[in-house]
Amino acid sequence: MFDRFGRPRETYRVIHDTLRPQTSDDLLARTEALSRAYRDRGVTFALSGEERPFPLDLVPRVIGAGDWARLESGIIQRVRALEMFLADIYGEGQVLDDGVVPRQLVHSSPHFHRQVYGIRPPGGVHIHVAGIDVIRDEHGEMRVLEDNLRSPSGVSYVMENRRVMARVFPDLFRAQAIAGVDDYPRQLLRALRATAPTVRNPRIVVLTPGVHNSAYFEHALLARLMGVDLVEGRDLICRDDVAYVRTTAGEERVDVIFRRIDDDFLDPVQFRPDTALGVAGLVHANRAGNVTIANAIGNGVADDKLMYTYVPDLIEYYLGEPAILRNVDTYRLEDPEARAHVLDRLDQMVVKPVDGSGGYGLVFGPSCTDEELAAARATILAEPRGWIAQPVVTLSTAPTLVDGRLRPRHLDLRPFAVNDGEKVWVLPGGLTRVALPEGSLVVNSSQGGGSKDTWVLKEAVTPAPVAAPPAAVVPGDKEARREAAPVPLQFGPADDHERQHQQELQQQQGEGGAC
Amino acid sequence: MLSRIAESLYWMGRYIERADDTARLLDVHVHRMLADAADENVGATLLAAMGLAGSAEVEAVDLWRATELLAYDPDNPSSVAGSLRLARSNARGLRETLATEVWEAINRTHHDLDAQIRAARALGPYIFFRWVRERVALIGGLIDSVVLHDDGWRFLTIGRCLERVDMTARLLGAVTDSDDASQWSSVLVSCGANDAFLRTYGGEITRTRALTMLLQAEDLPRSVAYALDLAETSLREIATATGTPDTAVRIIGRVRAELTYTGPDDLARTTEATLTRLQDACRRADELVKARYFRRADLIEWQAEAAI
Repeated sequence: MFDRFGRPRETYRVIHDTLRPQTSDDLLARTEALSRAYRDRGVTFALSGEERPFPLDLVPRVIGAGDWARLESGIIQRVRALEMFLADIYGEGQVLDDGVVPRQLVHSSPHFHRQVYGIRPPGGVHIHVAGIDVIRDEHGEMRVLEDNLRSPSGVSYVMENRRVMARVFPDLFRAQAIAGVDDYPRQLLRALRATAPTVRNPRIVVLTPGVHNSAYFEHALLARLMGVDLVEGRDLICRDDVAYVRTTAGEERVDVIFRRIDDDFLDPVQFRPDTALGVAGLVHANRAGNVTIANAIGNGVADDKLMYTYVPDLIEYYLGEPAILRNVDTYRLEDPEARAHVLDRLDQMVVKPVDGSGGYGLVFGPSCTDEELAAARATILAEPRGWIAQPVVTLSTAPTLVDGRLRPRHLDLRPFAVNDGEKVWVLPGGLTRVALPEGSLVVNSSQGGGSKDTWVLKEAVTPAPVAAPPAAVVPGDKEARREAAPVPLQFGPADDHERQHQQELQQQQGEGGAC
Repeated sequence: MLSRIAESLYWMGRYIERADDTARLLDVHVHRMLADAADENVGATLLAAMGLAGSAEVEAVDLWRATELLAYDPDNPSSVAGSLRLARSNARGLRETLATEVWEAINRTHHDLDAQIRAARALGPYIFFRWVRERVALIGGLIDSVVLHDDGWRFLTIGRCLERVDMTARLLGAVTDSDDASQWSSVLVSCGANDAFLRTYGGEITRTRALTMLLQAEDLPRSVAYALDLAETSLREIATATGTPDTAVRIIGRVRAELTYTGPDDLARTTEATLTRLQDACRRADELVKARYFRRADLIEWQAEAAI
């Protein structure tokens, strides 16, 4: 928020001027209003079976128009390259023949599913939705931390955060032009329709594991905003390679399944036979081209932390252009030289499981005891394929309300991209997650993280007085105003006397005017 | 409409109605005990009315213990708190179907429940009963004013109506033999039917008239006849939309016609048999609706195919 002279940065000035005069009591009251709104609306995530509201911080994060334009084009470029990569490895395998990515790396990934080899998904899309995690490093450069190409979640918080913030801080929104975030469901629906197998009016469903899933709120919100059914596995059935949904009027055909269930639980015939979350026969229906599965099965092979290290090469290979966004420096521990380098400096490294998520299994070197470091060393040596290491990046911080005061906390950002096969659209903003414990660099909600509303400014900030009077109350020109006004309110008998009295008064005035 | 969604809506309707009606039922009994302190059987009668009679533990129960069980016990699906909890858990799975305002009203009720129970333990159960009636009235009002009146609304309405008929029968079954006018007055008040009664019959309350009001009044939304009529209409509309006639329609239609054409004196003489017939019809309609519309997938074990 501040530059090195202690002055508020241009992009944050409006927020600074609005929040500064508020006492910590005001801020606390607003914070409580926020969390009460979340509780009543049921904006929660489930952690170990307990429903918790996702903490939202009062202070928004602001991204200037220029920064955003670069980030957006970098994400589009990345998604396009990853899409081509997935089509390639589940098809011809040219990239493997050319040695850009080691064949063994792809085929040894637990997320490479031979069951879907050779399937060309309807519309040619594997990645309908991507969440690309980025951070701003100590030099102010946005860098990619991770790609999420399976079922990236969090977009519901982006929309909810904005809704609630607009209620609690209407004054902030009046003062500057901020890109809206409510277009997401429409863009998603458009992409799902565009990638339907053939039909003109496809039936689309959102497939959820059920109410106990941590992201259930999001599944329900997306289904509701797209106006499609939210289904569970037991609502679906596959027969003769066609998927149907059970309704009170019998079975009806389903064309697109926006699934929020992991690959392993999607089809008990092909994957885990003990699961009841999915639908038997779904993969065959998909292979027959009768149903679209979004995101496609097997995307995980392209988003693990080891494959991530090859993405800049993939961008060069497929698009013939340099990557717009750089990765965070990453060491592949399979490589003996890199491994030796990392093991020498383990106390300065973050070691991450290739296949992990949610911040679980992280080894954060600087805060480890000697025993913990020794244990990490042993784990790496036992299975170098399973881990990557990154030098500790000091994530940028933003002022965050903690115990009634603004304090710096580390944050990251997950922008969301939607791909319809023709073009990639990026939701302006994204989910900013903030590490609430002091000094923590882990922002995952399962590790005590919160979130911030994320503002993308529509254009360079122009000074706007915060205390400006409200914009004209009646929008539109006089013509519109006249159109909007003519029907008087109707009142019951109780008001008759009053009305009569008024009419008499008006009449007298009218007569007076005529004189 | 998805079968699972239809089923959840139906049950949500039943549970919110059950919460409301159980609160009303308890209110009647607390009144009765205060009016007639000598009656030691009120607690047992109450549990019997809710189908919980039989065990030795239940026989020995006093009214306050019965109130604990039937008002505040969240693990008992027959209790007010338990019904609200189950209504909310059904509603949770319906969030994309239910209007946002309805979901928020139900969710809010769920979150306030503990505080209300704490207050009621300190200040007496009346405030709890009143709070429940108000919350259910709010939820019901939103359901009727902002929810699309499509098949989903109809399933919800059928659930509410069948539950209302069943619960009203239980409530009347517990007081049916009394000739005490003040007793019937408190029943009418608890059912929200007292003003309607006074407007229809004036101030002279008799058992026969109260029964006629609660069972037969076609223009009183809380009467059994009204609920049966609404259930029958909703069942017929769903059946028409999905093609074939429905046996549940016939069952509800028949019991409604029987009730309509029973004179006041016959009604007073055969009350017990009438109540049994009503509950029986609700139970059979419930089974038919489930079998026809909520058919569940059988659990099947799958063998994984050999890897390609």
